[in-house]
Amino acid sequence: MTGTSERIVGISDMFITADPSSVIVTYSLGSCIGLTLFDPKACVGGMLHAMMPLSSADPQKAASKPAMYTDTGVAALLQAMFDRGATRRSIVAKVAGAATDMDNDGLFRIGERNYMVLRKVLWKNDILIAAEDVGGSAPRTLVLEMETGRTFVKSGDAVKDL
Amino acid sequence: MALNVLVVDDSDVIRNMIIKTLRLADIPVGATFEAGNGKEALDIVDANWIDLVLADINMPIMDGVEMLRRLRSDHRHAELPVIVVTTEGSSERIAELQDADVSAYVRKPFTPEMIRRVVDDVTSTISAGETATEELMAAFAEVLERFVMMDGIPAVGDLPPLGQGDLLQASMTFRGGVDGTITVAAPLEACVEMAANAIGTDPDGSVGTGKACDALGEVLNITCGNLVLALEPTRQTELTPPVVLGMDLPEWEYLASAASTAGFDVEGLPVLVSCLIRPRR
Repeated sequence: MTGTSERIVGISDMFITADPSSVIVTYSLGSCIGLTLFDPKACVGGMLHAMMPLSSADPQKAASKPAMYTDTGVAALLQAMFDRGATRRSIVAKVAGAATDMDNDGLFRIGERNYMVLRKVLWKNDILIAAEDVGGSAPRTLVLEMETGRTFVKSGDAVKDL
Repeated sequence: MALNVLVVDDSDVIRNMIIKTLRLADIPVGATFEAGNGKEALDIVDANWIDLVLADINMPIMDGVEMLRRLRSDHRHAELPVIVVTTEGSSERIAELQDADVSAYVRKPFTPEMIRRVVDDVTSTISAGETATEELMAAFAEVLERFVMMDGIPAVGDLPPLGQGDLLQASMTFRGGVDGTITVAAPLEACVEMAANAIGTDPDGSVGTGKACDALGEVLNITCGNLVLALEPTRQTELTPPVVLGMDLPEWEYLASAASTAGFDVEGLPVLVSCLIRPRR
């Protein structure tokens, strides 16, 4: 592709754009949760890469870096989408990550909890998940092409459209 | 075409969750009905037009399996899609449901996305009813001309542009000689014009929203009578009274894109007429 610009979303970060030439990417999603929101009518898209489920773990940190936690991160991404004219009705939400076997003893179940908190926040915001690739143990790369809204996951050599 | 859905569960929370899911899931939901057990559900199905039922099994008074059996033994409801949503998953129970001709099955705990997938699968087969578009267009054009003295031309391709004003929709169902539902949607401006023409006045302040809604409902009512007569001249068909509601732009767009919808250019304003007929035996 020519004329596209890659926007990388780091861990505990998010990115929103209305630029159709942007391709938003986040790498190495393990037990972290990756969420893309795309509104084809408003032509606004965004991505979140949240690390931990609940901001109650460290409210101060969450206030300065909401994208670190799934609950505050999803809310912040949604709000940023609404601020740019997106509507609940036309937002398409896709989810990747939440691998379950990342912490060795499975004690903290970070992946499962990230996914559960994400589902709860979206449900309370009247948004259903359109597609997802979650669980398992492989790390993932999540990509959103703003021009078309195409969202896909790369894991190893495999590419899966969401 | 919007589907009227009946949700049968003794848990208020589950009913709420299912209804919210249907509302969010791009499934065209019209009226929703709730019942706390199988007996209440049968009463609702008898008294209302229902397109889809989602039902629990374990309920007081009458359980879901018995409800399903009774529905299937009544020829009017033999084909009504019923999705069972329950905690029970034994193969014996599933065989029992299949014997009673269940349409699909979801086990609790479900996520909203699971409900959406199953409802999508089931509804993709029911929205493919007959559309009778030709008869519908003729019936509607005649009502416009005679009753409200307006010229309606079937829109080939693009509809006239929609203005900024409010949108109204009127819906009703019919049952008997032919079974189906019919909807007319129009800008408030067009409905005011219809009312003014029918009364024989100018569309000024004397024609309020109330009269405009009434006129749209009556246009629908007469169109429905006309259509039903054209399709089934001998057997009696009962019409329910029209229900007139406001509508938002996404609802308008959804209706406009439906295969069962015909678009009209009514003196420069867009009007949609949509009708779905349940396949006749």
